[in-house]
Amino acid sequence: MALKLDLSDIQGNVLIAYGRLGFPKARCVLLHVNKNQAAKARAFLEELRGKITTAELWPSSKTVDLPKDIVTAQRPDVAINVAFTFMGLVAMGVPVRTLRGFPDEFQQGMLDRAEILRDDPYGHGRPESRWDPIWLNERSDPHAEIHALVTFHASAQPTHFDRPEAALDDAFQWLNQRCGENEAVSILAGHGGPNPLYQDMGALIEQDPEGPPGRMRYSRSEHFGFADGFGDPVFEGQYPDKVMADRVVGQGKRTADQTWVPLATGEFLLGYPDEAQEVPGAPAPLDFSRNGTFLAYRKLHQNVKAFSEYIASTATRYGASHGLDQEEAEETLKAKMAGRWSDGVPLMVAPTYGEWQVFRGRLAKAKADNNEAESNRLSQKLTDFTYAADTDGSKCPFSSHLRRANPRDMLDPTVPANATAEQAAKATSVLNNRRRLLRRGLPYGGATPLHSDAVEQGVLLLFLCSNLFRQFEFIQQQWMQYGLDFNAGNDTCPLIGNHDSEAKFVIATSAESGKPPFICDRPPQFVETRGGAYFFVPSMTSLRLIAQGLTDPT
Amino acid sequence: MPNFDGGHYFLTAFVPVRQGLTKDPAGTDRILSHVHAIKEVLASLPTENQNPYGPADVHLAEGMLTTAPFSRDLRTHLARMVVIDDVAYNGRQHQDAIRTAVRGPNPVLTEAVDHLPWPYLAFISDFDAADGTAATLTTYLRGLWSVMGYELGAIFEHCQGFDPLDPEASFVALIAKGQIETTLSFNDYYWSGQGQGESLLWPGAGGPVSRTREALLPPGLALLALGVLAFWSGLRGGLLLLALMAALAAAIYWLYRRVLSLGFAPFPTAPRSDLPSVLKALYLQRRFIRFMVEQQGQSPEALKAAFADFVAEHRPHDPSAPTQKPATYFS
Repeated sequence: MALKLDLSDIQGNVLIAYGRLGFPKARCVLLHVNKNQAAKARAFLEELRGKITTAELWPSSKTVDLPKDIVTAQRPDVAINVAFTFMGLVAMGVPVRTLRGFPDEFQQGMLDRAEILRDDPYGHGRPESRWDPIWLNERSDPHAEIHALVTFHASAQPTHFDRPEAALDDAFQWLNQRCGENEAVSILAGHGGPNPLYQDMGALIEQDPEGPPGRMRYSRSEHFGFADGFGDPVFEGQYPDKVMADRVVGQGKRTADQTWVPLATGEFLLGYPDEAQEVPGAPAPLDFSRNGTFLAYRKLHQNVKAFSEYIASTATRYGASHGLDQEEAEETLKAKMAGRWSDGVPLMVAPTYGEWQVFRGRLAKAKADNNEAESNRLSQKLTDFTYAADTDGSKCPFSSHLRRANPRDMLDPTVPANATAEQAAKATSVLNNRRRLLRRGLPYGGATPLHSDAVEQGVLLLFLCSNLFRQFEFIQQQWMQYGLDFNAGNDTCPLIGNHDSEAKFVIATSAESGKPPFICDRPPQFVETRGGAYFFVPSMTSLRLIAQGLTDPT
Repeated sequence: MPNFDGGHYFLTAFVPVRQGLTKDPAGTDRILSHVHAIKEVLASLPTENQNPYGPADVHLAEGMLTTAPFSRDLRTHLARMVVIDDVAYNGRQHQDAIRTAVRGPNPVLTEAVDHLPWPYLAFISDFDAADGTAATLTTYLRGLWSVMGYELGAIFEHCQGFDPLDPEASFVALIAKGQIETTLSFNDYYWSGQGQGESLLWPGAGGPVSRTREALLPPGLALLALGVLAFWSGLRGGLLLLALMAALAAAIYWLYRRVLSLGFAPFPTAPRSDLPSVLKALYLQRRFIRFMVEQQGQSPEALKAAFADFVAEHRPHDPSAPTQKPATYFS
């Protein structure tokens, strides 16, 4: 039998990003629990869990057609979810025997893993890279210890409010009031944004290209101008069968017969076999951990000014050596760093500026002609590609962000370095299957025009996986902050890596082109971590066990 | 693998640690066992500067970065000292359950648990050497003493047989006495000349291993000749079979000896695999990357002039200077 997940036991946002379901604005709140009043705190959670949004599909979802005569979940105005830090679970009174089943990195927490993640929470390297106070306060104040994360995601068109922001305000006021009444649970202050009590995030706004001037729409882009959120792993049980066949292409795992199949569920949810065909160790009892997962919260500040200035100045040199005009050189340079053109078209689909323009033209024409088949076929190319045809990195640099984050078929150990095209085409994603992450996130802050990088702007990312050490931390340390797996020595990711005084980024060229490779010299720091923590996202069953104090590990 | 391979000597020595008590080497009033004292001394030795970002380095003064004592010796690639307290207990001896049920021993009775008579100090080092002779080892050890005798004395004074009145000679003697054969060496600088990757027993043309093919020829021909002779002389049945089996046995024995002798023969020294050359290579790699980045897009004439300056400044053929300091990962 195929796996059928109990969607109403899994918290929302795990299987499908809220952003894709039409929830473009969100608010994150961090809570502290008074350990001496754990019973009261559990009563609070018992009330909260009735409001939690699950992964159950609602009828208005674009992804499925449900029969009309069955009981269905209703689409909420605000989706509410909750997750706990290790110390939060301690404070809630979860038994020690359950707690000790949690992995080391989760027990330690993100702040103590800073050296592994190459974070600089105290700003030792650069004072401005210091984390927001909320993430550091617990070191000096036990009453500021971070225990729980509550997230609110607001629908773009709420039914009871005039706009998403009003729905968020209402949800936050409710939480604030309940915390005030409960006394055992308090909202922590110290976020870097305008209101220290919460962290807002939301899709950026752009001019609707098909509408009259002034008509705005939610954008897919982040602050550097890249359309984001195309790649996301697809695993067994995540989607209904009819949707799965489309989604899995380019997003699941690559097999030797050159097809794509869903990844093992155990890579993203606890309690299921993973890619090693093992059920990963998890806290006892199984009911406590099953359908739960781990979440890495990352507030990543973006130095937009530094980025655009560096691109402009380096593009001049790059354009001169490769015969490109300034506009072409800037766009190409950005694409080489990201692995995708600014609208999301992968370099593997359109390796040059000219080919990109042709692809865009075809996509625009298909849309203008209402040619849905052609439009879908072209859109699928945004995720359906491999690196088999680019064994020298001359199309998409080995060190580009996209290739580092998801090397797809390129690290197959059975394919030799000097493989023929035929051998390379048979490569599988075997070494990559255990390093995948579900990405949930939205930009925050931002100001135009940009005069300074000392403003609130960046992207708030929520990574989900069943093993933070093997998935999140490995990708961060080995693939983003180091280059050995990509034959790039000490080079870090050109976009999100730490750039020290000798940082560089190599843009390879093919031998046939006769052009020398171009080396981007000493890029400044583009992205800085401003805070974060590791959370456990319990299943609804687990939330009940915690809230009722019934966790029995024996 | 023997102690000597590929131009490097792989030293492994176990030296027994003294029994009884001693005064704290750090000068406090504490009384310690010698094994405790030796661990205190080892823990106080500075290590190499591995990580340019590590928090420990933030507090280190610039001058402290290269004080790892082994870095004073330009022959040592990697060195390690560790105290072996005892053998690890690996559980009861494996027994066949049916045999035990029939013949014993009674599983209720405890088995003897074996221990070392005293802790040992393990000294493991790989260093540049021309050959694997005892004289080479002695020269290395004396060289080591000349640059870090103070530290070695503080360590080995807690070992059995160390003579404080003749420290250098007794250090050399202790290592020689405690040396055991290194059976699995890790050689990072391998010889990559012609013939690499070929089967040693059935090699292709060229390279020093082709000697094996030549050596395989006589016994092969002899075997063939024996078979032909036996056939033509009209021998049949048992006698022929016997002769062929004898020949086969001889061939297998010869092959066995051949494998062993090949295993014991050291690989040749890889070019520029001595420590000063390795350090120079690391230094040059780093400088050349910067050179490359800075000279992008230059005209051939300007590039040629810049490269001449580069060669003059960094002297690629001179391993002595300028170069990377030993025991640092960044120059």
